[in-house]
Amino acid sequence: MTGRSRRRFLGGAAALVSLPALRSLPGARAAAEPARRLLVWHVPNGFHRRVFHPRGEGGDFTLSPTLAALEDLRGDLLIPRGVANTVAVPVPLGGSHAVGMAALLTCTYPTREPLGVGISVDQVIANAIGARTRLPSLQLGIDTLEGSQELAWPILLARHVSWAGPERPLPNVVSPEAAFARMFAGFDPRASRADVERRRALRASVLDTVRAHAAATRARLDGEDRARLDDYLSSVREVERRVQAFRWTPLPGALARARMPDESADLPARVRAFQELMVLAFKLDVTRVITFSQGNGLTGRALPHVGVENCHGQTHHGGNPAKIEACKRMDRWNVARLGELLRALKATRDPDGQPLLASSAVLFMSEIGDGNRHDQHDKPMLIAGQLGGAIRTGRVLVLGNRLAPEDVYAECSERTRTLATPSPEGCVGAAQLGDLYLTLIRAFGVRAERFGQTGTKPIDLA
Amino acid sequence: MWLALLALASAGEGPAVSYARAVRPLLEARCVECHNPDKHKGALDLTSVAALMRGGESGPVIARGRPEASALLEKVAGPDPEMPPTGPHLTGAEIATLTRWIAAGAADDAPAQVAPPPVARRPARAGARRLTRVEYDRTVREVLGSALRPAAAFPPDGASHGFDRVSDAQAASPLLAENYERAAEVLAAELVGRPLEDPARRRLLPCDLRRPGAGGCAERALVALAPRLWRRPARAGELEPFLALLRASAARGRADQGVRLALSALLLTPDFLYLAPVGAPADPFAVASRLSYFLWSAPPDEALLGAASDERLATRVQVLAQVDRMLDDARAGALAEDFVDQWLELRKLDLRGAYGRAFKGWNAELRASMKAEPVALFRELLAASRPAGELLTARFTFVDRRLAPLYAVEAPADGFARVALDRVPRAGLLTQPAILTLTSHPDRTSPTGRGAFVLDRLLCEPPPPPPPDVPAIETAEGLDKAKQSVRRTLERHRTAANCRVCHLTMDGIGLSLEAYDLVGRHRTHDNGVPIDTAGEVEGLGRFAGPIELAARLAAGPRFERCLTRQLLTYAAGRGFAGPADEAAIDHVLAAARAAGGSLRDVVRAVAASDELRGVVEEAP
Repeated sequence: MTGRSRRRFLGGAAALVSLPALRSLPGARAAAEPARRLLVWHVPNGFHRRVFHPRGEGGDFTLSPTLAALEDLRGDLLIPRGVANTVAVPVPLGGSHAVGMAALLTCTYPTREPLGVGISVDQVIANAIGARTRLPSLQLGIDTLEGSQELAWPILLARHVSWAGPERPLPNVVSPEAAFARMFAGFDPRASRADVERRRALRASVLDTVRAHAAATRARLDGEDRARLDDYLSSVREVERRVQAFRWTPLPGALARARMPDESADLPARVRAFQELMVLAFKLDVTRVITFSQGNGLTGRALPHVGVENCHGQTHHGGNPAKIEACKRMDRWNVARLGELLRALKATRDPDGQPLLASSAVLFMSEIGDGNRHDQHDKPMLIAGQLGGAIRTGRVLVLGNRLAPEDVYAECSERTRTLATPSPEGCVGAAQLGDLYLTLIRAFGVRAERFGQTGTKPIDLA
Repeated sequence: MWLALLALASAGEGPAVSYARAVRPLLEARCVECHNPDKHKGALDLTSVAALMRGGESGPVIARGRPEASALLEKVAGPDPEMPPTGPHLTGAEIATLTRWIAAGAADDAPAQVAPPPVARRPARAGARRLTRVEYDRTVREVLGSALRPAAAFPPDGASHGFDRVSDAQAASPLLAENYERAAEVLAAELVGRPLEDPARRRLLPCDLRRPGAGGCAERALVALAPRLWRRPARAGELEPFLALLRASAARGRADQGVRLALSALLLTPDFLYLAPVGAPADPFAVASRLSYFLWSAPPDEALLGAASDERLATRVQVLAQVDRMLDDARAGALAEDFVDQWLELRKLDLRGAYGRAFKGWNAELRASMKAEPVALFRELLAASRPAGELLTARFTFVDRRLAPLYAVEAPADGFARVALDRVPRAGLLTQPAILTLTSHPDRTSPTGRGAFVLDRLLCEPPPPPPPDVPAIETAEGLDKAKQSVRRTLERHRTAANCRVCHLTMDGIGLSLEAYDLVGRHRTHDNGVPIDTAGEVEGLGRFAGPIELAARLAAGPRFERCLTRQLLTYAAGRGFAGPADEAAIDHVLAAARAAGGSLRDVVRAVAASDELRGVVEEAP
């Protein structure tokens, strides 16, 4: 990245460095421990795995061509090898994108009736620490309808990575403009303090009236109908809480003038804006838990910036060299964007005065492993950031059997298919993604013995 | 591994396995959803030992004492089991249970039954459901006269059973609530901001809010408006808190702000955002809303609300009188627009970005024209009371100047015009560019995709998805290189045993539709090879080409039944998938056929069905 474009990207976030630390936020004051943060960056349709994994292990490793753009950040990376998400393997007859999306952060095999999965790792953490910030968590994304249906599974599964509960997928905000409004609880951060207070009082009176009326309606319902209403009412309560929790803060000049792109902007423009918003959200302690899904599973979006007409179509390259090159270009572009985010997180300090990256864990991965093969073994993935000392970075951590680049079928897939059931033991020699998540949620202070269907054994990451 | 299991089981180890306690529950959990007396996929019923011995198309599925000769085990065990086609495979333990039971002689220890258990008819009901984005926008247009479309910014509706109105995919979220709050504020501000001369403003809020004492006028306006928003009369005292919001502001000379706050609050109540459930006994106002959102995607009008409050919405005859009135109203166009859009997945066309060298003419206008064509056909057949099967067989369609070139017919001067298709090889929905395009890839047709679409959307028999690790077979480059037709490629592909079963049906249908290219233009050659459109598919027989195929599909009972199922799902906002729901479909089909069997009769029968009226059984 050139110095010039780097400055342009950091325009918003760097301007904030001059902000006073936002000690007035509830929780930031109350929390005895320094904040820890989680950011998950999902990219759709897998990676070209053959050139993803680094060579070597421990501190002695060489980054692959795909990861070369992260060379200056190698000290901040923990690259796990041999991690599998076996619950997503036994897809009897396809549907691997939808099941992969559903299981990506839940490590749970979806059910059809009722349609659902399980709580996702980010939401377990948000439940533990979310009350300390204005937003418990933030779901960002690129696609709404995009991402075609796999006949086996309703499209709902392919659209969400974040699940607040087995039947509660959390939709992504796909417009940076809307995400900005959301971060400021629907208040105009450019308005005066007095205006914000007036508006807060009016909004509270309306929401109050609605809740009281809804309680009477609720009393006339039962069963599923009442549950559906409760679902809405709890959402209204959450909005009320955010309206109350919002504290007016003067915005620096650069941000006060900035206009965010909306959802009609192209993918690179939105990714750039979301990078900026994610840094801002952590910087202002608006939230400590973010998921960013850079496309729904199976999306066939055109990516003109890397010369690709159908991004899912390319991943099934069937050995075609031109398509393989296109896959590599997509992967390198995505990794370069991750690098920009990591550098910005490293350069920006949180209210405790620490670089954001030092207090964060950034996970980067896809719903399937290799895009051509749809497997889940030795998942290409990266962890960046030290999570307040919980993660020792600068190394390749071998947790289970690694795949040789030319392996056509993962041993894990074969064996699990024979067992023909989601099974924690299904993948010989693999570490479970669930174990990794169990480790993460414990690092956030959650006392848990299990996560999803596979997380049973915490991993030593420190 | 499963051979090892067999050996173990045959050796007679382990305790005896009971059919009633172990085998039947297992089959019920994993198999009988498809293999029961009502559905019997593959002519196979797995609900009793007798039925197992009777077997299916290929004879008995168990051989007493001989697990290795039992087709049942062959289907569910092994490294790549064929069954169940969806969901996880049977576990090793479950297979061992079946194996041991068969090895021990497959004894039937279930208590004897005089008659098979009757399929319990689920009490007809339509649960509470939220307005979809489309319905929200239509509702505020209808009630507030607003041209704003605030729902465009809402998070997308979930979909279940193919429709976004199905309540089990309608989880709420704080994000959604935030959007509702914003939309309510914007809509209220817009109404208050309109000039007094504006017709909608004069009808809804004929008050000069800057005048002192405007509060009384505004109160009367809100009292009149609330029942339209709630689609029912307000209860005694129910409006007080909303009026209190108005009064508090009006007392400070800000009646305009007061109206905004009270209207915002009304627009955020669940009574506005959710359709009330229809249960037994049904609330007539809830029934009225179901009818109007089914036929109009909009709230009930005064006449329908009047019928509800006079208790003229109780019997089938009374409902049908309203349905006929409503179907003749212009608002009924929404049924064609919204139902067809979801039923045929027309919104998939919105996802189609640019084409490469395969097609140059793609743009938003063409896409809009494509989507309008099936809607126009549905609307015409509905209005003219034509048989439902003509959706597939109609030898006419509606084209504008953008679609005309795809059909190679003369373009109408302006807008859409009806054109006869009796001289061109086209008939009904299946040969319309919208369907042919949304079932194609951006660079080539997909016979398999087209076949799957027919099975899934038109026959309600979705094929199981392909196995993982299957490379796409029909790449354009590959075809170019090999200079062979898609048909040849697929034929080679079907020799693979695990692909064969499903592809025989899908490809048989899809290859016939190869007569149309990736945007639906008719063609006779593909890659220089003449296209053979003949085919033969189990259940449909032999057909010479797409037109005969469409006729076969329309003539069989499966299409009409599927259409009925889809309309019921759309109307009631719940899936019709369980065995008990089949009875409800039968009921509606019988009513539609008795009335003449036209598309209009099917719609009327759905609207007047027990499901929408909250009736379990009506006295004759």
